[in-house]
Amino acid sequence: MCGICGIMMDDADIRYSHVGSLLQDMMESQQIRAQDGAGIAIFDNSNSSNSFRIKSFRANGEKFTSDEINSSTDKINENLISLYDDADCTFYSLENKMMLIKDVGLAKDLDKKYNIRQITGSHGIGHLRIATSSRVTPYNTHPFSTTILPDVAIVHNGEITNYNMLRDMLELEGYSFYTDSDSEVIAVFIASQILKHGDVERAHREFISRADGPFTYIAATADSLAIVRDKFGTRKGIIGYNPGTEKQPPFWAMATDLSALDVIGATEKIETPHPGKPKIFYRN
Amino acid sequence: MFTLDIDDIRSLAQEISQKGTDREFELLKTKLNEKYGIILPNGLKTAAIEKFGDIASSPILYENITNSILRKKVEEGETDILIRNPKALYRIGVLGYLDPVELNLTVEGNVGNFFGAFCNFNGTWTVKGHAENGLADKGYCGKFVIDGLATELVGQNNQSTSYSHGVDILVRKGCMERAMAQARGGNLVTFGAGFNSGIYMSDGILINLGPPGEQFGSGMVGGIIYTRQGTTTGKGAVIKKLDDNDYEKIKNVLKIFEQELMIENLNDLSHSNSKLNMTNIKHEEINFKEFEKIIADSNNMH
Repeated sequence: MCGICGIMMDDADIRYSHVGSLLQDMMESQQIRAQDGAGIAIFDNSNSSNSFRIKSFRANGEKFTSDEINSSTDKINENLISLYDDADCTFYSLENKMMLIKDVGLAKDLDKKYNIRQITGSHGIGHLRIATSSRVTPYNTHPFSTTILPDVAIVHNGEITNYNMLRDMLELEGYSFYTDSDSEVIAVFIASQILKHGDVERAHREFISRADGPFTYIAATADSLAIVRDKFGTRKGIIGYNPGTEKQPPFWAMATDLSALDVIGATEKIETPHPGKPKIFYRN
Repeated sequence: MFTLDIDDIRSLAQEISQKGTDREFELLKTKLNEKYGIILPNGLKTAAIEKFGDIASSPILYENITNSILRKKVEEGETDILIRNPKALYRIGVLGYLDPVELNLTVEGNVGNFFGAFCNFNGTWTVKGHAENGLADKGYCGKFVIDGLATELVGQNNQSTSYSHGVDILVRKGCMERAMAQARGGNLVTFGAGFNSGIYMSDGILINLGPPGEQFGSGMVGGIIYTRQGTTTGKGAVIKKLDDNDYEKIKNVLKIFEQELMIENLNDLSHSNSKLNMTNIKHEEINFKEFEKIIADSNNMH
């Protein structure tokens, strides 16, 4: 029973300073659903530069620390290979415009440690994890990113029951996996499809047609935010809108629980995404 | 009427928590006993701290306190209770009585998962907000009116037994997926029902007066879904036209919510007089000629 959430500012030209704060409120309001881990990915196009961040968790006994390599475009592959060869390290994020932070524990602990509320951006996603099929470690916490493309992140509630088949297929195509989580396959699949076709909507439609099991996920790229439910709508997902005020610009929000929309005032235009049809918001 | 503002309990817990004592649970327990006459089980302390790090941040503590106060008031003979600031707390209104109790409950705000689960009451429980998953899950008896939306599994496992007829539910803004899943009785009137509604139904009636989802009635072996034309059925269910008997059944269910929906001319409803006027959120004219029923496919039952 994980909890997921996402925010997309309705006008991304307004550099809204509270995406982190909104996600934090949404995560804390859904904390009852899951308590093993929490994470966010927030996108800010003004961060764009030729430098990429490659993030990994380094194991030190039972404890983990987060490492970060700053890499130029032409050194990304070299840096990823050296990371892959380091048995103590587990890759978790490849970033340019995105900032991905995750850890074990509660949402309020994540904020205390990383000042989530202070992170700005145009859109972002958040996750609360309850461990079902893999260990409680920082690298198994969501969001999941990939080495295929920078700035792709997903959060997921549910199970991908044909995960092994999809993973085998992607590994045969040469894509790497870094955890045993079924959620990672969503990130790798979506990124691989975007790489092939350059079409976010097609990527999600392909995933829906190939994936089995009950799921709702929210996927973010630098320019899009999508909420996707399985063909039968067996996992919840709700969208709402906050029309804004003079002081606060309008935004779209999506979450597992209505309470998460309520707490940030996104209670207009409430709808549930149609099962099997991705609902995508593009950055203006 | 007794009013329970859950924010009062949150404030009390936070006030105690700010003192930084390692006896915050014991202090809260004493305060609640003095104020409401309830006794919290000691196991809650471990559960709250293990899951949420401290007492004041634990929603399971607030849901337990809320239900304990409700039970205490019911046992004192209170029949009208107002809850304020539920803030989507899960599992409130879970009272667990074997015999029906007399209780009208009004909740101002959204309720979380499993509101009113296992309910067994005479009266009306009104939610002036939305309801999350599993509204009235495994309910035995009672009447619910939800002013907002209800998410998944409304009336799930609605019970009809030798000593109960099931729960009657009205959802004014519509239900999401799997409404009346595995229902064994009771009635749901809703202004929208999502995918897989009526899945594995064995008894009870679902009247969907709003837009329909798809795959209704998968695996149903009993019960009836009345819905606007345009949906599809899952395996094990078939679509039929309404007959005279159906109009009587619809009339009987709508009678339960006649006042809430301000229904005009309900007594006149029949096959030849199929239009009803009612006011839900706005005025609605419903023509049951545009409806169909979904029932179990007798060819599919063994």
